[in-house]
Amino acid sequence: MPIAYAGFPFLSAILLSCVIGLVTILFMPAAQHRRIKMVSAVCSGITLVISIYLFLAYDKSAGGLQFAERIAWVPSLGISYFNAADGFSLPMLLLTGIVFFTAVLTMWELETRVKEFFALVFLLVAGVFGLFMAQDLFFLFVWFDVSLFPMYLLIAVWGSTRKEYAAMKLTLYLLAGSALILPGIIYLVVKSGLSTFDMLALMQPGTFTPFQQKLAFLLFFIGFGILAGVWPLHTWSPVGHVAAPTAVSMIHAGVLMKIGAFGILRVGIYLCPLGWQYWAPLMALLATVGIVYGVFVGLAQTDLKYVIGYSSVSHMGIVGLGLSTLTIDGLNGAVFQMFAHGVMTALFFSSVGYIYDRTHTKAIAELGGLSHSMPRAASFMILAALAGIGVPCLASFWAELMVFIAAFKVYPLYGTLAVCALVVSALFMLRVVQRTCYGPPRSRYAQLPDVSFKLGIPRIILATVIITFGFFPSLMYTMIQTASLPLMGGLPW
Amino acid sequence: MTIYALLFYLLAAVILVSTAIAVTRRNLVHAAIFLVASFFASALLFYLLGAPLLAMLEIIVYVGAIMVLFLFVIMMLKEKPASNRPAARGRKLWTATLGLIYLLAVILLVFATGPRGQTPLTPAVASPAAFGRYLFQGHWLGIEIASLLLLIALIGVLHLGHTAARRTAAGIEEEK
Amino acid sequence: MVGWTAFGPELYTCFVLGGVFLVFSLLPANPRRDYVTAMALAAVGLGISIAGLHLTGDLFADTYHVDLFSQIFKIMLALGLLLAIYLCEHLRGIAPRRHAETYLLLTVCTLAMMMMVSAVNLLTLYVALELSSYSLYVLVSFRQPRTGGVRTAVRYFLIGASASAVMLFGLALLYGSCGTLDAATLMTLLPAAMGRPEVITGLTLTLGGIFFKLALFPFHFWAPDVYEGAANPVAAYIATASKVAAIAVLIRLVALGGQNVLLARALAVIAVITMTAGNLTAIVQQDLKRMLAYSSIAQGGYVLIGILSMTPAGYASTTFYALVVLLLKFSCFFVLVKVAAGGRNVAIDDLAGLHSSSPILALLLMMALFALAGIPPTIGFTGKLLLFTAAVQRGYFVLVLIAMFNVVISLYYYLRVIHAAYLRKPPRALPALNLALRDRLLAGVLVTFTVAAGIFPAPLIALAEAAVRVLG
Repeated sequence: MPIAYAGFPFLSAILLSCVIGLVTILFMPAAQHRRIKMVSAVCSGITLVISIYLFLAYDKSAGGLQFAERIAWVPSLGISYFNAADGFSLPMLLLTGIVFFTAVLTMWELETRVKEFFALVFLLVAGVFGLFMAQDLFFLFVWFDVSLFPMYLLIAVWGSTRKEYAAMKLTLYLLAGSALILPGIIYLVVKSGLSTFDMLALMQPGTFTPFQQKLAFLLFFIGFGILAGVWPLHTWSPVGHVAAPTAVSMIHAGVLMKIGAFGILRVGIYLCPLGWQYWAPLMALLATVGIVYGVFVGLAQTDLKYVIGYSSVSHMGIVGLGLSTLTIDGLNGAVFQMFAHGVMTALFFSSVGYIYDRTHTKAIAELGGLSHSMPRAASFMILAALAGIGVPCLASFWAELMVFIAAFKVYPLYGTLAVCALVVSALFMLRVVQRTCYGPPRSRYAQLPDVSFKLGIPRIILATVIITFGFFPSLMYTMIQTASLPLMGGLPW
Repeated sequence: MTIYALLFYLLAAVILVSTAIAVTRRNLVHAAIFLVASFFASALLFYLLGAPLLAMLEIIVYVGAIMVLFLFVIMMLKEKPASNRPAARGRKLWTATLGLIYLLAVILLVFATGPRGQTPLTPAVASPAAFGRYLFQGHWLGIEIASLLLLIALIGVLHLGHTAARRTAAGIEEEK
Repeated sequence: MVGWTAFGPELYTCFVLGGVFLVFSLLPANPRRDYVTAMALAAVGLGISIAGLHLTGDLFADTYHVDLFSQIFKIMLALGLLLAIYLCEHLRGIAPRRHAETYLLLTVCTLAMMMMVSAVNLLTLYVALELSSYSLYVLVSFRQPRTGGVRTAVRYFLIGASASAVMLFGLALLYGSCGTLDAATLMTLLPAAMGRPEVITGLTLTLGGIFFKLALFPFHFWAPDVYEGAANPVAAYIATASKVAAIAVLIRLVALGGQNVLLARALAVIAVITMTAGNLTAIVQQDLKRMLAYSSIAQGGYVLIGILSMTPAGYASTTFYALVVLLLKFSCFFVLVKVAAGGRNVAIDDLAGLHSSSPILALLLMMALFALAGIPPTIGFTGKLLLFTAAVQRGYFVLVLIAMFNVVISLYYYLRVIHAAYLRKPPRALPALNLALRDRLLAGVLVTFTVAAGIFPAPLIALAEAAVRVLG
């Protein structure tokens, strides 16, 4: 795989701006809410700008890993600080930048324990960024855990509905995942005999025997799969989504669940392609069950956030189905879906969060006629719902299309089931939208303010991204192909 | 069976029985006396195994010094014999069962395994002079540490003694 | 006089530190004087130990070996002593006239442990081990109210004496079959002789004495009672310095047997039982010290995983982990001592509101607990990574999986503590904890070190690897 080293360490600059944000906030007086928010906005803005720049500056004709940086860290163990970006990680970095920036803006009205909230969010996002760019297994794992453990406090302190239970459940589930990943990583590093954590070196074909690949892939699939919301290990996710404060839901559903899928891709598929091939039928089965299950359990929900939570399970199932097809289309679709779902779900949570903050209810039955009292908030929510359904000309449409094309070829039965489930979900989602946004206006919501311009900015950004990539899917498609083509071309079968 | 073996088993039986009696007596003086018997038998065992010096040390130190001190303390404290409160039946049963299982296992192991399971340990016969040289040349650091250990034990005993003295004093006042 | 220089740290500990407090304990009680002197002398002692890092030599008719391995552990022990004394500032759990004796016993115990890590004759090792144990028995009995302290001490003593008897029996078997107790000679004899039942039994039983120190199954019952019953700084000392010494001795003893599969399997079983029992019991604890005791037991199980791989990498990782245990357990006890008003015990619920009464202590507690659970990027994660890598290299993959699940279990009760400190509202508003500047400074240093050493572990790892190289 070709590597282009960076003249300027852009990737480290992203991490650095997170760390600077974190440290600055830690040393600021807790009472200065406004300043803390300004610092957060500036630092997260920098990460967004850099990730946009990297997305555009990536040389698609050259492909491979670009913007690479490598420093030997613990030479005796073969650990190096090795960051690079390719066609898989750049969409994810862009997604993280967008969601992070908009999440910070969304929380502009937060008043309780502001300092700690933003400090923890910075820590979390630093982990997410780090994971998407890491090319060294040690750092990848470190970033993975760094992004997980702030969640406990973020949900338990600032959350709602059964927050302590949700926080504990989420943390234990995700760390149980990491309890499988770490042995998997150690196992691969030791069995390779290379005593290095460098993924490029471990990626060479023939490094691992088929048995080793199968064992390690299973560990990674379950370990990362918990985070990706793979059925039946998803139960932490709807509960967590519901309990988390808006920004954390956005980051959590928008980015954190993608870490899981990305981990399966980056560690599982790249290092253990034979294991991928071996376990693909199981992945497909679980993914399909997840899609169908997410839709039908979602049907029964009366809480708006639970609806989105279960739709996330089913959308992440689409990612899993794409990965399990072992085809280029499936892979492209899966990565595209990760991006599209991230933006879509962030918009969804941010609009629901806005509505919840004003009406103090998430129960679908109690809402209604919102398009009269807050038309802008309602339109954002409708847009997000449409994107979730997969309406053409919105980003998720292309992603789901690609996955289903691949799935029909490889697993006709699963593909059919998944599509049927999605049709049901579309009907249901429209009914939810209809019940909350339309219908007779309710007097008690009549006086509520609509989304102001300032609070509208993050939602507008997200909506713009959804529409842009819906009209120009090739922007994303060509990017992902620079990574998926070499990956599929270099497979051992 | 050689005469040595006969003597060995005889002494072993004496040790076992006297120790068993010692730990089951409620009267402390009686227990101490039986312990003396056990120590005597151990000393003879050492003699039998070719370590006359150790045998003498055992008698002088344990039977002589320690037991006398022990009896002295018992008589000084004038501790009343513990009341005849029987131990809980269940606990007794448990202890007995476990002990019996252990005993059976050991017997089985000793007699059931063939010669391969046996390990003859070479006896080391040392003259008192050689023993002394070995101890005080090769292990004088250990001796020094042991002396520190005595110091620590002294502090501990002082602390405990203080406690006991207080408690006795308190008890006397209560009686008044 | 080269030989005596190599004995420098011990000599200093023995004569200056120990001697001074022997005198002080005869003078009228003066807690302030005792504390200041102890801090100053222990700080110098740490300096001397660090200065003696590169000393080497054989002393006392080759029963005592000074090398990089022992010196590194001596530095950790001197550090442990200094930190434990630091916690004694008010020392409310112990009567003022016992303070000088407390420092004396802490010092003698440290001296004994320093000798343990250097002793290469198993007899010397045994006597040193006893010295350290007896110091601790007496220290535990100092806790007020007196009857409570003495009761705990007696229980501690009974289990310790049994372990010690087991160890002596093991030593007798080893000596009987090999004719020597010298470690260097044993190391050449034992690997070949490990097939003989009396040899492997002897070595295993000898390890029993160390299992007691490290609170490993089946000698782990004392830990919760003793932690709970001892004065807080004493419990801290038992949880930190005494573990470090036990780890050192365990490494030295296991290294004697070469790479014996049977012994490794036995140790693996003990490791699994120990960590599982420790973690599962810790979940239900309400008292912070009892919880820390069970967590210590579990940590002992992890330590065993590094040791039973019986490779230089395994020993190096264990050496590294000794430092991890020392620092993290101290951090927890530091918070505990500062929170405990009047030297009493602290229930987990008592931590409620710590977040607002003292943010720095809450942060320290959180970092220490996350590090104990092995969350990156802390020193605790690096330690676990090294341990588990060493074990997987020898093929103990399943063992590592079990250990990782134990880590997840342990996270549950660590989160309970963090939950209390960060989320629980105290029943009544607490006044802000009045921490001295040095306390805050120390807390800051500990937090920084926990993270920094996790991010830049390379120098420490290199040192640990150099240390075990001399084990041969």
